[in-house]
Amino acid sequence: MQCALAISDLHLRIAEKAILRGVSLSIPAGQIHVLMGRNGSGKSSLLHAIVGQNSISSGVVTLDGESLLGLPPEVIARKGLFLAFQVPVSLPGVTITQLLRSALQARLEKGKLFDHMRFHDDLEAAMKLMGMDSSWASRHVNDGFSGGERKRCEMLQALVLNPKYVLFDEIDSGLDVDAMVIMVEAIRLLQQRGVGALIVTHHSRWLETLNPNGIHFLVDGIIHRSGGMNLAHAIEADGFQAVQ
Amino acid sequence: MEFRMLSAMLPANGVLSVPTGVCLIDDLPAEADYELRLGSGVRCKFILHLGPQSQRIRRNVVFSLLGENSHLDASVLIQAKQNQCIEWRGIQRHLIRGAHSNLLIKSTVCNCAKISVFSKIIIDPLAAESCANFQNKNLVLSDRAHAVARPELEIFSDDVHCSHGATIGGINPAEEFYLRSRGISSRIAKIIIRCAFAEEILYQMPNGNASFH
Repeated sequence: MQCALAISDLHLRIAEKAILRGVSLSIPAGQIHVLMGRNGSGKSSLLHAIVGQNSISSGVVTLDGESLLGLPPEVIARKGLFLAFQVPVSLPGVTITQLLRSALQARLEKGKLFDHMRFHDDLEAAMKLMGMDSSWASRHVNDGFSGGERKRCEMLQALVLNPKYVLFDEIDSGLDVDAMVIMVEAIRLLQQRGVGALIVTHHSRWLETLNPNGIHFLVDGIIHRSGGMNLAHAIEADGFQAVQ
Repeated sequence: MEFRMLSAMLPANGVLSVPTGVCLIDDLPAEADYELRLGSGVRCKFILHLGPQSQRIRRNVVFSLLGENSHLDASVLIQAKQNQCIEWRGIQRHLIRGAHSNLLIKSTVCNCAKISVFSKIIIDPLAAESCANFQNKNLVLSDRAHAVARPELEIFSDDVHCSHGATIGGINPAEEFYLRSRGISSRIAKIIIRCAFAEEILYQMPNGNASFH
């Protein structure tokens, strides 16, 4: 069986409006794919549908051959999908440590004990990679965070929870140049671990060093074209009209 | 600040002149009426956690700011479950200029429980340059639970800074989804959100009193 996140003929309607109209996409383990498209073309809706927030009208989503349709979001997450939100909510009163500990404890098999030492080592290593000092561990999730800090917090969670696939919803927005370098390093590390990624972005330059395996151009809920970095370059240089 | 239990300090007439630099913990029985008086320059904190002690719980509290530059920071956490009925009646009364008072009341209400919060700020004519704030946040966790909030202001002086506000609502679905998207079950997510809601007050409590049911 091939390890992959596979989406086939996915349709999504929200309030009687067709948002996705037959999206098909397959991301083998460890590969990086990029989704581009105009505002409102359905990129974020696709990511939210995959993780179980939006009810899918028809189509198939499988992870390593197992259907994810109809599963609650927490089960989908435990199977190995992680959504890095475009605008993550803040959780005043919940520290980053509490959130991650609860998330990992939810993944524990029955009868197994939580490894606190390993958790703290993993958290410390991830914070170091993300350029966060130790005070971050006790900060309340996204509470009072700048836009860039929220994105770094999302990536920190991805690094600690170590999913099979990460869906990045504009992880690059709001980041300064240095934070962007850190973010690319983190995605590379995830890829080295065999984690696949679907990245929604409006900008292609930062993707150069990641060498993505596929670029997909979404138009009105359908993947209109797929290609390599040349497609991303064409969009960046001449706009969406040039490739439509 | 030194933590002091109100039960050990409150006189029989229910009127206490608060010493400065203390954090008063209300540990009184289920139903109690009292007045706390703050003299000149007195700074104090007040914490109350109304929980599962009794079926019916009631507080009738007057905070009287009698001295210039007196300063009160009060936090009340109310947690009602089952068929409990919990009522708070409070007055922040500013009687002289330049006093400050802040009162925060947070409540969670589950099952068929009922919470009523009636709180009033009164600024007397001699109490110019007063600063008084009251905030009430209610988290309703069941369709059958009930929360009533009535914040009031009575201001008889100019040149004051007063604010009050109350919110009543359920668990934010976006917060719950965020936690579930991390693999946390809906049941645990709701518990985390409830505990986080109370955290702002719980963390101020001395060890041993900081429990959330």
